[in-house]
Amino acid sequence: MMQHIDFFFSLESPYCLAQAEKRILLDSCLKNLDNYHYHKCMPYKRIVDALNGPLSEIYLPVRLFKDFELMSISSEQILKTLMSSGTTSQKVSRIFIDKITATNQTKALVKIIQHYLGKARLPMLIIDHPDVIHNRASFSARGAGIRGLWTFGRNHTYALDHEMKINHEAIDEFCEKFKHQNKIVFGFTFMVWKYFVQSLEAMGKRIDLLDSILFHSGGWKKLQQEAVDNDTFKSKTTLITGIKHIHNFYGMVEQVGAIYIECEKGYLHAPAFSDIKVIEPATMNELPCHQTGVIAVESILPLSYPGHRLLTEDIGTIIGEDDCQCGKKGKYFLIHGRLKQAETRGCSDTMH
Amino acid sequence: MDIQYFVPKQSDHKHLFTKTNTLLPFSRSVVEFVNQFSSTIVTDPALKTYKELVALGFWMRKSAIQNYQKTFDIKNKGKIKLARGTVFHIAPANVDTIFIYSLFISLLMGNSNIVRLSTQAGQQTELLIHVLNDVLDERRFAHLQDQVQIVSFEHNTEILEKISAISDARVIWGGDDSIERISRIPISPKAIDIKFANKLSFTILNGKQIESLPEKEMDSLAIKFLNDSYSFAQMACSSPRFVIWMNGTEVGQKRFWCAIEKRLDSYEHQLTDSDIINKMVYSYSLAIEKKIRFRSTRSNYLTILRTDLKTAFQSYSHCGSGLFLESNIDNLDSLLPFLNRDFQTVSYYGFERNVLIDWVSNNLNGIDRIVPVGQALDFYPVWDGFDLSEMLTREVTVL
Repeated sequence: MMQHIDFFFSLESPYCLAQAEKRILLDSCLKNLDNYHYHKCMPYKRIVDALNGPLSEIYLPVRLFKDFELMSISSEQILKTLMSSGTTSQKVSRIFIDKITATNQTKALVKIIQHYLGKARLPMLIIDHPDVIHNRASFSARGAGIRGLWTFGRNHTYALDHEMKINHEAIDEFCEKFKHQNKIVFGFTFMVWKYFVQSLEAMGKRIDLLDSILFHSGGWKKLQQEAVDNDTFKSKTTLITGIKHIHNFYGMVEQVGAIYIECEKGYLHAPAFSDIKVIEPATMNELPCHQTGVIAVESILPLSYPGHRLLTEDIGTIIGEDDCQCGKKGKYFLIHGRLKQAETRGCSDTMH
Repeated sequence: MDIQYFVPKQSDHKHLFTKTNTLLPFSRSVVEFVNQFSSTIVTDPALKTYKELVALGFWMRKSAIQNYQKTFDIKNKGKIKLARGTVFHIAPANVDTIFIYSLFISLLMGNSNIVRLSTQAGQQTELLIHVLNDVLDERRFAHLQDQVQIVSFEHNTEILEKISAISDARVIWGGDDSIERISRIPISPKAIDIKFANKLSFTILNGKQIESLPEKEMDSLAIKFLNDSYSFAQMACSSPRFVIWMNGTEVGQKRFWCAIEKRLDSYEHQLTDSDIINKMVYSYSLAIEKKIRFRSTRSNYLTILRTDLKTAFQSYSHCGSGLFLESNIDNLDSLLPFLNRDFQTVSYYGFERNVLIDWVSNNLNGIDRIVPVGQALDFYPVWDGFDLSEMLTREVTVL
């Protein structure tokens, strides 16, 4: 199984495989993972046995990771436990990572990010406060995301202070010191918008991050409430900060590493290590391009937990395969947000 | 105080918190009002698509009300029955139409009524309110405006207290928590509470009969089962959540579920992707924890989990949306250890009524009604074991 994965890491670019070729390679890896997890993870085996259908058609709903400790390793092998973000009242997902899975996740992320940044480490501005990676309360998606990209940067600088206010001194020093150099800026979409771009705008301040590339992630839910779409986000960010290269990415704590980065044409791309399907839940059939449905994700990276085929609660549309104008091969797509939770029904609740 | 007034069109606080006069049971004007209401919703083409509303109109059609009155009169021959007074109905969140049944029975008994609708009330409720107001606007029913007041407000103890203070009876629909919360609000010591708590239902099928059922009858059974199960996304208390086969055979079971699937294709169930995923999460979780097997189906609009009797009875509080646990027995009495007051309706096919009467009469613990498949959702004036015409009247004795 490892030989297969190593082949993917040896690719020159994670976007060089045409979809048909990629699927043949991916399917063989995924098939191995089906059997691997079937024998290693008892809860997964019980689901498979109960369904009694082909393994390759079984996608675990991501919510299961909130209710069960799903792992294919013994507890001594756990290197770290990743948790989804969530308020205190909500249950969080727990994803158990062993050494080899952690290594694979890092290798995949390196391949993907290097495609955009090259091999050199760049000065890195983090749109968050310094406690975010230490603080237990935010030791989750935000902290994990920052730690994940940390290795691609140097001279790490936090743009916000402990009170989530703009740290002008730090930013000005960063911009001045690395003027005319390539830089990396990273933050969660909402943080970038609310605490960085909007704060600067309110102060009437413009900064010069002209030679920077911004990666941001974390969902559009809060921004949609404020009627901010991707185009608005990009144009306003460019106006205020000078950043021209802005890339959203789609990823989840259940499949760290194999992230889906937005290209310069505005589409998210599946890298070699993972793939995306748009599913109609009623039949679990894959929908053709341009039809909107629920996103299922496949990844060859999860060895320590049965996360290789997952059904998300995000909705999206595949735009095409191999023919994005940006030149990347494979599938490209758009995410439209979360599935609307069905209203509570039944005669059980009077007090609403 | 933030109160929304729906019926009558013009109302206010003062009106809402004041006791109004009662009428005699089955007063002519009320009976005519019910007739008018029924014929309006049955004949209005705009309401035709709402199965639940049409069923409601049919349920309160003229002949049905006449029969109901006849039964009432026979039962109460020689007795003096009067309205109980002011009845406060607290409607459930999302079984849109059920409140109207207890409201109309109460009306027929001569009571004046205040209904608190859920703030989540849906489209069918809006339509019902519209029709109610139209009928009440007719001059001949003007005096009934005092008898029907429908309002809505967020959970507010002060308003609940004020209405409770003038009530002679409260009809409370809801889950255990909300019933407890409302019950805590004081009511006059002389008043009564009628509680319709969350309940669950199941179906029993005679395997041998179903195995040899002709195609046409199988199809009609399938339609009836679908109506019982897929209205309100299977979340009505009376919708079956599991199916118990008496001497079920694989051939018979397959035939039954195939007939269901065939009809389901064209059935307007309004299940969403989110419902389907909830159902997947529930059934995969169950697969991890209990011994179940999925019966393979053409689509996830129908999910059947085969399991043992104990698991079926333990796992009933599921998310509905077309999910059925399925189990086998060879003797009705093997159900007895599992029955309790949580169970409301048993819908059946292929059993003699006498056999069921004998079974129930043996001091069954739980189960309020046993009805043929297809009638699970039909409201009956005896509900959850309460005879509403009894509860919503008072009897005066003269010696």
